[in-house]
Amino acid sequence: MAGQLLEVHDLHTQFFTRDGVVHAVDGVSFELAAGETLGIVGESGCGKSVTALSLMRLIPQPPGKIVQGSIIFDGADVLKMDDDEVRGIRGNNIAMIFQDPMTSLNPVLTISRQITEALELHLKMDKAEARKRTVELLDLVGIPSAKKRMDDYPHQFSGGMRQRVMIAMALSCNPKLILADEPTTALDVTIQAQILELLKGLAKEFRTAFILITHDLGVVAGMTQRIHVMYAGKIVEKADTGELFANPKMPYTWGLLRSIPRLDERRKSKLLPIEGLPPDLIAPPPGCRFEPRCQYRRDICREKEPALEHIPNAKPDHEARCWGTQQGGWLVDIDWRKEVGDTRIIEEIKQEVAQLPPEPKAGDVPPPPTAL
Amino acid sequence: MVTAVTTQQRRVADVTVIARKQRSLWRDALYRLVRNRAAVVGLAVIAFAALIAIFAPLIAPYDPLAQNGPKQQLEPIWARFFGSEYTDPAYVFGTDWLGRDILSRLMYSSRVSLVIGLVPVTIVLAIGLSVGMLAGYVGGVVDDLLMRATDVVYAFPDLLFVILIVATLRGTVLGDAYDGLLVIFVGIAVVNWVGVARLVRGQVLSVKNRDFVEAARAIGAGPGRIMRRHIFPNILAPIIVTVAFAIPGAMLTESVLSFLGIGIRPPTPTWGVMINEGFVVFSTTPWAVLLPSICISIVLLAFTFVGDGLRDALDPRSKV
Amino acid sequence: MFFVALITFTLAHAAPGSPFDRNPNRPLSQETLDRINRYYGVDKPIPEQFVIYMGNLLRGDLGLSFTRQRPVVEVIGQGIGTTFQLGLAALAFALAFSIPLGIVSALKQNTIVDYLSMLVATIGTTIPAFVMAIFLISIFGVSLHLLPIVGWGTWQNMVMPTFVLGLGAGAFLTRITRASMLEAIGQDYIRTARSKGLHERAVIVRHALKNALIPVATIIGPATAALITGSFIIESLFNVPGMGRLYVISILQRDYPTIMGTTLLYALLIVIANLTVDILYGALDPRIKVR
Repeated sequence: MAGQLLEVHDLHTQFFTRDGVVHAVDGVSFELAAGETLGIVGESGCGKSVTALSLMRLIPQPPGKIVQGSIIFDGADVLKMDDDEVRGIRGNNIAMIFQDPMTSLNPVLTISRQITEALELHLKMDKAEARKRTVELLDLVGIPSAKKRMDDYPHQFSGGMRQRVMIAMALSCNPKLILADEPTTALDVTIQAQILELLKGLAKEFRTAFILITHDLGVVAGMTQRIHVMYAGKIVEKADTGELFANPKMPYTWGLLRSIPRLDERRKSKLLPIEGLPPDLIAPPPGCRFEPRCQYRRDICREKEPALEHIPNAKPDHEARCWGTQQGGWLVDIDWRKEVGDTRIIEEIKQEVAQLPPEPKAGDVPPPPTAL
Repeated sequence: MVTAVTTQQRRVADVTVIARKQRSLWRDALYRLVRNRAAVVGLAVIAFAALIAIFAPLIAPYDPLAQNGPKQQLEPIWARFFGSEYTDPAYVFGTDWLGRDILSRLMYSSRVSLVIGLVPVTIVLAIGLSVGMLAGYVGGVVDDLLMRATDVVYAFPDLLFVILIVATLRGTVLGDAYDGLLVIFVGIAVVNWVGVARLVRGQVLSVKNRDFVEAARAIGAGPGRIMRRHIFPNILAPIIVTVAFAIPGAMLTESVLSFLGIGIRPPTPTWGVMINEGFVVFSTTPWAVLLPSICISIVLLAFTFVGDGLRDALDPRSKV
Repeated sequence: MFFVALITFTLAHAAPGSPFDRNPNRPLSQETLDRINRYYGVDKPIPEQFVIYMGNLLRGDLGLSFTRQRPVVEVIGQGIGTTFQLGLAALAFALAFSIPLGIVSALKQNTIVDYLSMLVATIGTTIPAFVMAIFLISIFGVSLHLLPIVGWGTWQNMVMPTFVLGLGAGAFLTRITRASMLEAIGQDYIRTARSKGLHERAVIVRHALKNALIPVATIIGPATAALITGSFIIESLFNVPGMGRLYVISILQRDYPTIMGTTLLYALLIVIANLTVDILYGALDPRIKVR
């Protein structure tokens, strides 16, 4: 595919804490064409948000640092730009929508002020133009009587309305790429659907590429063309959205799918949570990072880390990071819907989790701060 | 067999990775406190000062009240380096205008500070805790009274209120007991107990409806047990921090009062008294004022460092 | 306020002795004492005295000073200007150094700049004012002979008291400013502002500072009250003829009407300061509406 809008190659973002280096993003690579939509899915703390913030160089530094890799946006490497150049991209070419609309808007500035400042900065509009455009934007995202409400403060809006404001703000300078980081997590379910519809419609209308970051596979289902599943700082499965839902390969993805409640399932399948917690990213497991929680694990999983590779019986651009699904692996022909895996291993994991020493000795490292 | 063992060991290591390590609040806090260099230094200084206070009668070279007529206003020993002839190696820190040994007086002063730091704070804590827990847990009349008392005490500037009480009681039996020490206890206690009570009340209110308290109630624990076993441990952290700052606060109050001449009666040595006495003849014997000033500063700083360290350790979010 | 008056009054009258029985060498005759007591109205039962006092208070009459033979209002009036002058100068000094210092140390968190300014702030809040004053006096007054030690009237007289008084308050404000600035720059909306591509200066000034200064501004009211009520030590030490020194002298001389008057005034100041906080909050923070 020629003329990619965004090419991320081998991105490593780390946080240097007192207790050690947290490998929050550990070698992530992906591409995005203009107007394309991508979902990044994974549990909290797996590096999704850090990836997004890295794209805009918004990682708080210190303690965070992008230590390796390249981010080619529109032909230029974001990581090699100076601060002014990066600022020229932020809000202008790449815009971001954050998770919590309650805290992401400045409480002491009016809505209009927070939108116009970007317009004045990037599009060099004067005050009157910027205000006019703000009204249009607020109309566009479905804020009733926008003209009257634009000079209100954020606290006078409901959560859903504030997220609409955030979207208006993101769209304001016609960016080529929008990063939406859990844009609906903090909202009510009914509002969630409205916001997602709005986002989808607007992206289509303006042919904006967007990356939707979520922990909820259900959210990305109808939203994006492709999905990348992340686990513990790495991409563990890549596929088209349809392919991923029809033919998922990585046991972690299976776990995520099993934990979505479904109404259209014929037989009554149980909701199965993934036992345990994601690994400590200061000292990740040496083999496959999902191995300690994986019910299909074999010895090789613990010893060597698998690469992200094509899968024999799947579409060509479907890749997974799993020994079992690679050429000759023991999971290639398995039907994840029927076989839950070795139940003895599940019990083993449960027991191990239960048997954990309640309190480690003094001098051990305290839990790492969950990255953003 | 060998591989089995290693796999087993590795398994344990992996499993600890699965569940993030957790440790108790207290151990975690201690860990953070010990890593705070300023707090550790502060603790060391306090320990040193406490030792001096306790053993002052044994280690002080002279009677702090003994006046050595001919050896008045001896300069400290280091004044020699600046060409002063008027020093005496037997009086390391020199003597004051009455010929009293400053080192001994400084040592004895720390005893008063120690007592002032401990006794009123204990009283304040005892009253504040019991009233605060009652007000928070039971509410009703106790709560109303506490709120009224708070209104009143908060309307006065703290120090002025203490001064008012101390000054009023001067000349009475209470006021003159133990060279005025007792009335300072009273003054500090009266002014400060409400603050603690308010704090405790607020904490109790925020804890008492939490699930674990409900659970304890559900299994039939009585109010006394609930307060002791379930509420108290959960409100301990802010109380510890408050105490850590209340101790130097009390010491400061004493020194201000003594400095103004309404605290501890001379000739009993306290740092405040020494400053007050020496200030009159400041230009001739500056060291008699500066040395106790330095002592106060060091001890108060030490307490502040420890207090800051404790607060950072117990409540990592607050940064003031 | 009523309670303050009641308590002060009770305390004052519960105290043994009066200013007139202080000189044991020249005891006053019972007759003279009676006459004096009648003159000051202290021969009546205490509750009645209180009622009379409160009545007079409402008319702005604080009674007669025992030792100065003049109305308390007049005595206090002489000192209050000086005290305010000193207090406001100290406030200006405190604000001038504390807010920039607090902001800089928050922005440069965990650097040498931050550690140094926090050390200064810790020392400033911890070392008692009178001790700090003593250090200054010994350096600038005694050793260098740069500044006059005591007295009032010239600008040189003001330097040390203002510095000492302002240092404590300023150190406290520095810590507040730093903390609230740190909190502000950690907020999500700062990240939002950065994501818009704003210049770092705009992010700090427009987005962070505005939020961070709300708690600081609201603390200025109580800080002013604390400066004015807390100046008594400094005034006594530097012999500044203000209200604080008056208070201390009155206490030493047991001049109860003056003590009461001063205390009431101090309490009034605190009430005003607390009211200012509420009003300021409403004005500065759009989330809070003034009722």
